[in-house]
Amino acid sequence: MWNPSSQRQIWAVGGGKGGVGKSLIASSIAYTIARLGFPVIAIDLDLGGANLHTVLGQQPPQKCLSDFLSNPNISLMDCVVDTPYPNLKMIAGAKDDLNITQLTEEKKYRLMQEIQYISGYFVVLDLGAGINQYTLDFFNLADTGIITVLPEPTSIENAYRFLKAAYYQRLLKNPMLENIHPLIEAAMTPNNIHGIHSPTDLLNEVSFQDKILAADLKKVIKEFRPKLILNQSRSQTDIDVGFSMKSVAKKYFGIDLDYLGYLEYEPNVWQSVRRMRPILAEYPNSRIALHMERICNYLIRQARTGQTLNAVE
Amino acid sequence: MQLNDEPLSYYDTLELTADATPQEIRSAYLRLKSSYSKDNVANYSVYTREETDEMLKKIEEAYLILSNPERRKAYDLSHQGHSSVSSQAEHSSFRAEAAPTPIMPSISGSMSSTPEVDPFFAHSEADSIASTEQEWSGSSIRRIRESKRVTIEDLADYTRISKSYLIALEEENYQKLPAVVYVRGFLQQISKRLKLPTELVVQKYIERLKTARPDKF
Repeated sequence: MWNPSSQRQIWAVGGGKGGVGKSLIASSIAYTIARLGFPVIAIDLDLGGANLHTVLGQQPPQKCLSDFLSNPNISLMDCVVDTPYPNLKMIAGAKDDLNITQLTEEKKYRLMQEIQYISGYFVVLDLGAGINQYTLDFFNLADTGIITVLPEPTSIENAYRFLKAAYYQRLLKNPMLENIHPLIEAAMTPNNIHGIHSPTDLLNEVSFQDKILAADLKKVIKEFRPKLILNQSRSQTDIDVGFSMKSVAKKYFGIDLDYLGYLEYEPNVWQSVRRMRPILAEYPNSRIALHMERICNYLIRQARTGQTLNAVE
Repeated sequence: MQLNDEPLSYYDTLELTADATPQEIRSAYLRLKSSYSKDNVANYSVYTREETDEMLKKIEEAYLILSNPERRKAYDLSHQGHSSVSSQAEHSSFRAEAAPTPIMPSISGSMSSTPEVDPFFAHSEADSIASTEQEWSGSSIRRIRESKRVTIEDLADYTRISKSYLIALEEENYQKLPAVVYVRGFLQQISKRLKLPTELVVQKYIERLKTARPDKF
């Protein structure tokens, strides 16, 4: 939908709940694609708790997102800083914790614009926790939206909430579906008068009212192909949670949730954060590094065949 | 509420294509059985127990047919008309499960399993009831059904609506009926099978439902 430049790919890592490893996974993805030879900019969009720089083993840099947000004369690219790792640059998050409510629509729009105009890079967005307009907008802006989840009920519940919110948000933002906004909004409201409780109900109701609109709706839904990474798996049962979520997404939302893979729970490896080093730099031969590389190779292949990427080499 | 989410095709239920190998069928079955079991955290917060139970029933049913080569062959033969639906499904992430034929025949393809020659169609008694019917109450639907010698089981089989819903619908037991979007779909399917004037049946029935259970809307 938003794709002014074919010279870059935007990947967003979200997932609703805090502490599910968004920053670690976003930084690991950025680190891995950089290591595979692609220029990358990792952007910390966690306004309330920026720490992407920390998981990338950096002190808080001089330049950061706050500069861009507070000064209209500073461009986003001015805030990019180098990291010690080849091909990997980053934009650190806001220094002073910004409340999302403080971020005006205008600033958000400007940020979205400039992210889209970045050229020649893979852009990896580390979204903050929480399900709000801000995280949803950036998730939906991305070419690839990645949801991270732990094999725990609380995390899974939030992941579904996030998915649902992103899903309806996408429908609302699509001009093709303007005529069914009241129904989409109803679907987002519990106990609505239309009796719409799920995305499938919505589609059924729209089909009942108008077949052509229903076809449009299906088309928009089909374009939504979020990805899933399961973090900290300890057993086969944990790994299978991803497959089950894929099935639920299909049956409940009618969407193809792409299960990218899982990262094992390896206490030693995850503790490298305490040493302020990127986990994959510290443990390049760990199973986490191996799985991460597989996941990134898969995504890169997909980006290339999807024709959204052709110049980044 | 995902009651009508149940797909028409057994392959869709098991999230497979019609060319699945026996091995794929078995592993899909095992995976889905576990996905919708009551202690699986992955369905927590999305589905109620009743919904997952209903889904497990469908999964069992699909596996019962598709795991047996002969039954599968018979099923494939009797659903050949649906193969076009399956191939369309490749291009649509929704497949039949989110666009279930019971609710939207025009989208999921025509009801090709409908017998062209309906042995009950010519039944004059039923037609005379149908032609004079005004209210389209549950009991009149039942009368017509019975005079056409269609059992509840036949109807459940054809419409893929559970027997308990069909009975609740005929008894106008609104308490037991699901949300109105589903009831609407049910009525469309029933009308189709019994050759009733769909629009009229839906309109009259839903009107009564609305008066009796405004909370369903």
